[in-house]
Amino acid sequence: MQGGPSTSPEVIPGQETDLSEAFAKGWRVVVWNDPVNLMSYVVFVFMRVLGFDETKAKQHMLEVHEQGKSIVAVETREKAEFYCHRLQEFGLKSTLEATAA
Amino acid sequence: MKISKTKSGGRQLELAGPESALLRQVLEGLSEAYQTAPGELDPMVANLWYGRGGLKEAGIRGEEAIHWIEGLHEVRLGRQAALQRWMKSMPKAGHAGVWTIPHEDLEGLMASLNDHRLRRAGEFDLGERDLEVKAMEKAKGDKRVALVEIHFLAWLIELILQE
Repeated sequence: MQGGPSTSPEVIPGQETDLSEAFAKGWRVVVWNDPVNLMSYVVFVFMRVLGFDETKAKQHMLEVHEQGKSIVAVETREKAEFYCHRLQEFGLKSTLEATAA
Repeated sequence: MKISKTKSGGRQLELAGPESALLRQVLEGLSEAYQTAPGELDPMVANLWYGRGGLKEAGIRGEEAIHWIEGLHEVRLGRQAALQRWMKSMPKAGHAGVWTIPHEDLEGLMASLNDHRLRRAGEFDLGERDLEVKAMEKAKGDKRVALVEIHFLAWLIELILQE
């Protein structure tokens, strides 16, 4: 098939690394303690946003309460951003951290 | 206040006159605050609803940071329609009566009530000690009103979650 369009994807230098970073589960979602949010509400939000069962949600809530923070997910950049934003929509204090940091 | 679960999974609240007055006041205040641009809010409240903490460290800067904050504001603007609906379905201000919340509205209602708790805490820069019930008894003036609202809404959220 001479002269036809090439079907093999071109690899642009530098892009390969960006893609592997984007799909690597290299981002932590951290939830921080605050004095206002109720424990029961935090459990509800963890179940709703992160899909935790009640036991896991309570474990993470207690970790937040007793240790000041809890890593609630380790995900790809895109998914970690999504979780972090959703948690903030519910009024929880959450941040993103690179696992290598 | 009495609360019960409806057949469809919603909640029915039997409100006394002062409770309905307080709830209406909360929803009216929230409605106004949700429509306020993040940059025009009380800085302490803005920090709780639209905080930029951690964005820079995560590489979210410039336009991306603006979109992040705008996204949070859009969610709250989206709750605005529900707030209007709830105010219409509530007993008249200061009147006792029944208020029914459909199942699909419960999540938004709790998030809104929690936002009000955060807002009031931000306005008075309230910390853990301020939020103890004993502290409420000692507080005076506007700070006492804010604490009453915070504790009342905590009780309401707990009841909704327990049912």
